[in-house]
Amino acid sequence: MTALANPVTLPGSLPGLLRPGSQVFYQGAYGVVVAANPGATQRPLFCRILGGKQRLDLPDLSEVELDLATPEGWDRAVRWLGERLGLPEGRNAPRWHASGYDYVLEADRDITVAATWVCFYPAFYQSIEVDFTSKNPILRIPGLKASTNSYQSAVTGLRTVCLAMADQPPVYARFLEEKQRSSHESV
Amino acid sequence: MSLSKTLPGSIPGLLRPGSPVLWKGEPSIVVPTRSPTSSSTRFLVYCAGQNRVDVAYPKDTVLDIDDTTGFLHAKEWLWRACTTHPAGPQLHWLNAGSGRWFLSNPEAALAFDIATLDPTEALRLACLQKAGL
Repeated sequence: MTALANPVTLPGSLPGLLRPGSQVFYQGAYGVVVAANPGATQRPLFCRILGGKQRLDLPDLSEVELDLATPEGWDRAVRWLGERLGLPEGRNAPRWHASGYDYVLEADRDITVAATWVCFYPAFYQSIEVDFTSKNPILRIPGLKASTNSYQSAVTGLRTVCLAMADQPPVYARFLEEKQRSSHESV
Repeated sequence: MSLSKTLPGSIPGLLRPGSPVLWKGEPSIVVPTRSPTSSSTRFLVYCAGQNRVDVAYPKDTVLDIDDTTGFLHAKEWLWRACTTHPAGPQLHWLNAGSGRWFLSNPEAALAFDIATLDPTEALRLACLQKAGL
């Protein structure tokens, strides 16, 4: 992994992002979340070293940041994005990479509904395409790639997409809702 | 947590800050220590049941690889134990069929012969094999 000049982080306030074991920054110090509410609406319990001793804190969610440069932070962010999109959880986190001018999120397993769904995301000012038909469900987000360094590009792209998805209902749930609505209308 | 989904905490370098462990039978999380090298002899854990940080010895702990972070830490340990190639941000544990598993990142791959279809069990057996246990 190429080191980044500046740490790339995600706010701990993203719903459901933090979980026990997440490595985060808080007040300039680095530590580990040891207990977190799954809905992430409450303060996480956080352990760090302060003055040479371990200290437990209950920081406000807005004060903690997940470090995307650690394997754990990357893994959690990609899983979180997969959860927001309704991709099935596998043993591996979905693969996240920059491909040409697109970003691709690719899950491990088959899912039950086969369709390609394109939806407009105001946060991106464009549509993203979720292809549930392939063996590995794929999310393709066009035109965000800005850097020639593929790791730098992938990690900053991951941050951008996670932030944009934060206030969106899960994609898969929206897809099912639309499908249900259109079947009611046809009856 | 099922003990069949765990690895011994005594495997050197396996546990890291954030590792989900069973410590004396209690679900716990490994927390940062002042000295990163101290984890081979003892380390600190936050025990949810007792709501406190305590000193733990490797022989009293097992890593929960049914947990996504535990699974990640086992993959990272196996990669580091087998190669000097950097792991990169994404390591994938893949079944290639015919009793063969791969641990791969976009640039390199390691092969393991393990006759099971369960990814967690296959990773557990590969780690135990590599640790000589």
